Amino acid sequence: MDRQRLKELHRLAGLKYDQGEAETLLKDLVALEKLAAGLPPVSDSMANTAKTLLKNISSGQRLEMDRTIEEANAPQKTDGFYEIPPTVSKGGGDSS
Amino acid sequence: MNLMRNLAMHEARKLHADGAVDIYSLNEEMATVARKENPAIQAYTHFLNEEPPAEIDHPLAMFYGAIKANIAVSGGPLHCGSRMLRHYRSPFDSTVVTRLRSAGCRFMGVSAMDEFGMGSTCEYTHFGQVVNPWDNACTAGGSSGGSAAAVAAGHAWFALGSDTGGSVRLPAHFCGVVGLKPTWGRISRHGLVAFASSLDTIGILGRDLQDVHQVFQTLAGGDPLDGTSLLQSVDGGSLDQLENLRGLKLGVPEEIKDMDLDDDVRQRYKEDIQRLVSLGAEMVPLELGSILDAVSIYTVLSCAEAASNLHRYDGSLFGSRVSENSYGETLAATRSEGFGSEVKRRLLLGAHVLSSGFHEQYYLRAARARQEIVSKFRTVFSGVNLVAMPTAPGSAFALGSFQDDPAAMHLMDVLTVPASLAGIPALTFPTGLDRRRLPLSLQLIGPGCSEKSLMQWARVLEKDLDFRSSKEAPWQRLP
Repeated sequence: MDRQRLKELHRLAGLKYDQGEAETLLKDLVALEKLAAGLPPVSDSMANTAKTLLKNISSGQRLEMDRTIEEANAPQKTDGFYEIPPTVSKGGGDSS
Repeated sequence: MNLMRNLAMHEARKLHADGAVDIYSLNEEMATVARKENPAIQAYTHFLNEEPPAEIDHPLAMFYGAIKANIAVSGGPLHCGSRMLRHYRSPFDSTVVTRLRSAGCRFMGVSAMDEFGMGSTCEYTHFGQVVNPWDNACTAGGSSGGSAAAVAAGHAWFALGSDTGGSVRLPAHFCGVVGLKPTWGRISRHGLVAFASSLDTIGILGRDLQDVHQVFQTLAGGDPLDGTSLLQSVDGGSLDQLENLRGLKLGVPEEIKDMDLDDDVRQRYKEDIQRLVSLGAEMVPLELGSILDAVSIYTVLSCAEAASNLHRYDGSLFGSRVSENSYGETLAATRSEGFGSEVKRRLLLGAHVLSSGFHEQYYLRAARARQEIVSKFRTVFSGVNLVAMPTAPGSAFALGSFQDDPAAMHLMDVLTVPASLAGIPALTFPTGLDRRRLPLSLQLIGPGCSEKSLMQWARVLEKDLDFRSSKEAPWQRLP
């Protein structure tokens, strides 16, 4: 972390860069960054799953998966009409 | 005995029904004393002057609570401890307020907090800093410090706070009251101003476990206005069903021995565990491993979510605005003037961990590590009923202790963030005093939706210790 990066972070966070505050902020952020860097190691299997997920998202495969799930859950059409799932009331009928 | 400060709600109600006390008179006395003493304690930033509550048939009817300044009360200030929202008033009631009003409760006032819940001392606020009713030179904790101080000083019968990484439990520990962080989603967040949405919960502070249980029963349950609320029903009934703790498997993390804790905290914890065992619990030593390294994970995830959630304060919709020549300049000027130092630090760190090139190194890694904590807890709770830990590494410390090293303040949360990251319930209740005669507590963590069991088990120890009779406690003082 340096002054240039701090300036960039102010822009990203929607804050004014204040030369006077910079020194203190830099010191605090370095300490916080150190704290954040103390993340525990992640087990291989979990890391691989996450990597695959990330790869799928960036390659667009995830979107395809979403579409597949959407299609699988969509109401089925028979003879041009949507078939209402049996758990959903078809409405109408009498009140007896 | 000073009844207004000393009685729990369930005790006052019983005496009221017997004609021995009048809750309306106690409320009047409480309102007078709170206004008189507030300039010294600063638990409240605003009093609400609500009409006296009706005497309806509900265990909470007629009582006044304190409400943290990030929970919406229609027409009341919703400033979140921030200069940004100092004039903002809520146009609606949050679900928790609606439910308490239906139960016959009213609100004494809006309680002070660290800005947007970011802090552990109630010093990072646009309003006055809260002091601890046990010792006015010490912090009341944060970020729900105003709520805890109001309950400890006898300025409210109970209080609502919010707990993202320990913000109900830490002040409860410092002020010697009971604090409950429920399962994530168990209490509706509709009307709670967001800090880190995947961690935020509305918590309860009270004089004893029975009072906290009663408020929990009133608030918990699904809410159509909060799509993340859990539909799980809440068990009713009393907490006093258990005579002892036989059959309870009590998980005790081995790592606590090697943690950097005050001697008094270490001793108190040892004695509490021994007491639980003597009451019938079976002690099961556990290895929690990386669960106790969770501060890093919490810091990354909470700052990232805060950076996203607080982006709405751009001068166009909520709160104050500093008008400049362009949208970009107005945004930067408004936010720079409206936010305090701790919020700015966290927003900058949030921007850092989410930015291109650092996202995977920090944010994704933290998100994965969080999943491991969830899995680890799941394994732990297949062998024990609950995990017992201290709430904080020490008792209340002097105000201003972290002024020169704000990053060190994050380490105060080391024992509270694991339950927050896993979304499971955690209960803090006072169990004794340290050498400075300041309160210490025990934290019990259980699997999802086990709040009632946690409170039932804790109640056995609460009855045994009788902490509320401590002579040093602020509720023993006469107004």
